[in-house]
Amino acid sequence: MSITRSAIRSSLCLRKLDPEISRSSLPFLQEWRKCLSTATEQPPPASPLPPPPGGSPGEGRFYGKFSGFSKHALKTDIMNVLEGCSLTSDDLKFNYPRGGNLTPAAVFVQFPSLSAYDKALRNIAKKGKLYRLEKAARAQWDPIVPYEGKVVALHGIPVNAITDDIDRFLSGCLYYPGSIQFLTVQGLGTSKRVALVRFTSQTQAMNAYITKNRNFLLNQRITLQVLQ
Amino acid sequence: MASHLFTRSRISLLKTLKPNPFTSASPIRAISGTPFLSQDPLLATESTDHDPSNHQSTSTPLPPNPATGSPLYQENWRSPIPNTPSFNQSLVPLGFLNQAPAPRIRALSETLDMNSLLNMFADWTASQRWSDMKQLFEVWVRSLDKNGKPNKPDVNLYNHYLRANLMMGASAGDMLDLVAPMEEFSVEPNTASYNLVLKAMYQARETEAAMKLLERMLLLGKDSLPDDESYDLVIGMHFGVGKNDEAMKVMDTALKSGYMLSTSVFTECVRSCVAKGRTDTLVSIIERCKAVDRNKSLCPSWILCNYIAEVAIQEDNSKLAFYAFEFMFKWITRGEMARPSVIFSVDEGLVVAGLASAARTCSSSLVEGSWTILKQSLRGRKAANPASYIAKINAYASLGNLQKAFTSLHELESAYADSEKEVVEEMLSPFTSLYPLVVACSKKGFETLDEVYFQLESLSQGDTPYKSVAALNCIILGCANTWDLDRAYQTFEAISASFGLTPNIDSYNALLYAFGKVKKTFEATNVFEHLVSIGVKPDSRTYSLLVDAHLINRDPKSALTVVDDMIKAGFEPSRETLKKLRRRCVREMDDENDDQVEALAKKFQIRMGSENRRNMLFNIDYSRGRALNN
Repeated sequence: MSITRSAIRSSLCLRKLDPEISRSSLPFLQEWRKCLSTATEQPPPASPLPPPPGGSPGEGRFYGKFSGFSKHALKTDIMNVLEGCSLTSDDLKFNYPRGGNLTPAAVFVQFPSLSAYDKALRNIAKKGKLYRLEKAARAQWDPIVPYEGKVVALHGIPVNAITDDIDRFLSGCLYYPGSIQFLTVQGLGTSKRVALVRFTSQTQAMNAYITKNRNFLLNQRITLQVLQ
Repeated sequence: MASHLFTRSRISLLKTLKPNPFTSASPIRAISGTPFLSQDPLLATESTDHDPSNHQSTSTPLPPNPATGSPLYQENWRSPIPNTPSFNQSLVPLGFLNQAPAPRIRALSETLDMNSLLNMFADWTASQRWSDMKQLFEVWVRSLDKNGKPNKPDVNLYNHYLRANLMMGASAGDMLDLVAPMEEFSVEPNTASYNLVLKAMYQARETEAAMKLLERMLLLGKDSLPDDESYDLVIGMHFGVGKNDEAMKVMDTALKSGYMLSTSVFTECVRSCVAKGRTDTLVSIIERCKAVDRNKSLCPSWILCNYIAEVAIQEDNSKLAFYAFEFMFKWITRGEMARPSVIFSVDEGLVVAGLASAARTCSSSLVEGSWTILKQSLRGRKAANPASYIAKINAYASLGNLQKAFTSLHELESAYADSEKEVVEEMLSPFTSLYPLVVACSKKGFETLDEVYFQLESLSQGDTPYKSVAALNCIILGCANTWDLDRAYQTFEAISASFGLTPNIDSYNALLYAFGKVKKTFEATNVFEHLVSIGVKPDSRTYSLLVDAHLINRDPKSALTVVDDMIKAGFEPSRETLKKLRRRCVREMDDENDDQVEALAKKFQIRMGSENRRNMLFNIDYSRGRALNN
């Protein structure tokens, strides 16, 4: 029940953000730019922020690096593995290495206390030791940009595809048309095109994943991946 | 003080007196003991030394002078003679032991018969005395038995000999050379003999020779037919050197003949098929393993099962995905039975992907398998994610199984009945999440829609009534999609009249959509005004649908008015809506309103792009080509 409630709360938190975004595009664009340019904005907030939280809440926090999960793992799956550690969706950040092929290398977890971290280690031992959990520093946690399950990556985009083709592929889904951006990721010796699309909510992103995955775009089958 | 001194002096006197007898006794004993020890070895070795020692021993008791005793004592201790015989005695047995094996082996070969030799070889196998086995066998076959005839080994005895050679590092060629002489002893090689040769080939990775030997075994037949071990060795050999095609062929033969595969060979085969993307081949192999009782227990590792599932879902091979989930189910069950228990769980993201694949491939078994393993993983302690339910509904909708689809919808509504209203509305919206269900309801037009409606009506009047606005919304939108306004309106009215429920915003949106499609713009506007008047809050889609209604009526001015109302209500017009509006303005050559649309696009920073692809079709000049041809 606690996990369900935390899941509901996390969805509530996500839900609260939506009206602000839908009412006007300016906050969304600003927030999006902030997410994309976190690296440059990190130094200025670092200096004023550390003193106040360092006193009381900073000491209780403990960070871990979780690995060994499969490609299809969701945040709820990892919260199920780390059961009883009082984690919410916001306490998990999937790390997608820049320049990689959008395969998550690890998940950085923010534990409320050291005892929660120890309990997580015991849970992993109980699960057959399929996973690994290591200590991590806060410096590793802060720079990661969370996608919150709202961004979908379209793998296998043809070379001659344009934004209109992506629009047609995603017809019927609720997404932000202006958020379509193309990347080039390095596969096995060859570079591939990937399109990132931001949806209005987690539900819409999963709906697109369920209905549009492995469909055709200009004679090519597209593989969708929901970034967590 | 004086008494103490006196007592101490007495004690000291006693101490000095007591040792005297011991000291006098010990030399006597020493003297008496030494002559006996020295006399025996002297007698045993040399007679020349005997006389002087005897002489000295006889002279010892005559003079009581201690001066003569001490030289004798020293002389006895310094004499090196007693040590030499013991040293010689210790060397002789070692030499004797070193010389023993050859004669001993010869003796054993002359006395042992075949059964005794078999037992001895069995013992030596346990202690790994390969060299002795080899030598004894080679001597034995050259010896004669009790009746004076040459010894003849049987195939079991010869196999021991082959194994000894194999363990001593014989190559495959050497092993084959050793098998050849079996004919001279009138012994036919059997399967075990050839398996030993195959092991040598396995170590040397000689795949071609192994294939030829396997064919030879098959040709000879009878006692030398290949068995489980033969096939395992050959298949494992081919996988080891990367000849996967050859390995598959041999495995095909083995499975046809009903042989049992080893876990390592099965795992290697699975890994190879998955890596090469041969999902159909893997399905075939798994199915044939299931058909044979002895191969039913084969199961890849947990990590490999996950990998199989991922590849199967990627390739849309529903059978392979089902088998992967089945293997995982075995792991989960086995883990729970173990002590201490190991808790395996399938990732829900993988199950969602599996359900989506089931929808694409219309595989009902994969739907059932996915959902079963998801429930097993959650262990009843947590509800599945909404995405899992939506994927399941989508799968059943694509299968055309509407009854199960609505049952799944019921499960979703029950699981998240306590959630936030807005979240539930988004999950249960017929325009997005449940749209596949809407399409399925409209598959045969009014026929399917009526059937579904009557089913829902009967369910609502049953013992455990099931009433769902979301289900009825699907029917209304289905009617709208098929331009069936009357049915849509009747279903909308039935929400409150027959089911006793309250329509939500999706109900009104669907009805508004139905009116708009058949150009009843005035009625659509009335629906909008009605829902606003009774306090239902319109959402972004409500305004978009109203804009569409006006555009269908070719009234861009009224549509723009609705867009303005939309903006006042705090919503942002979507790119699609603005593009539709611009298109209608262009068609109507309404430049004034077109400018307003452009202004709105700039205001909300929406890039509308061009209409090149649409204009290609719209501006086709049919007569131009003919003119050119003429």
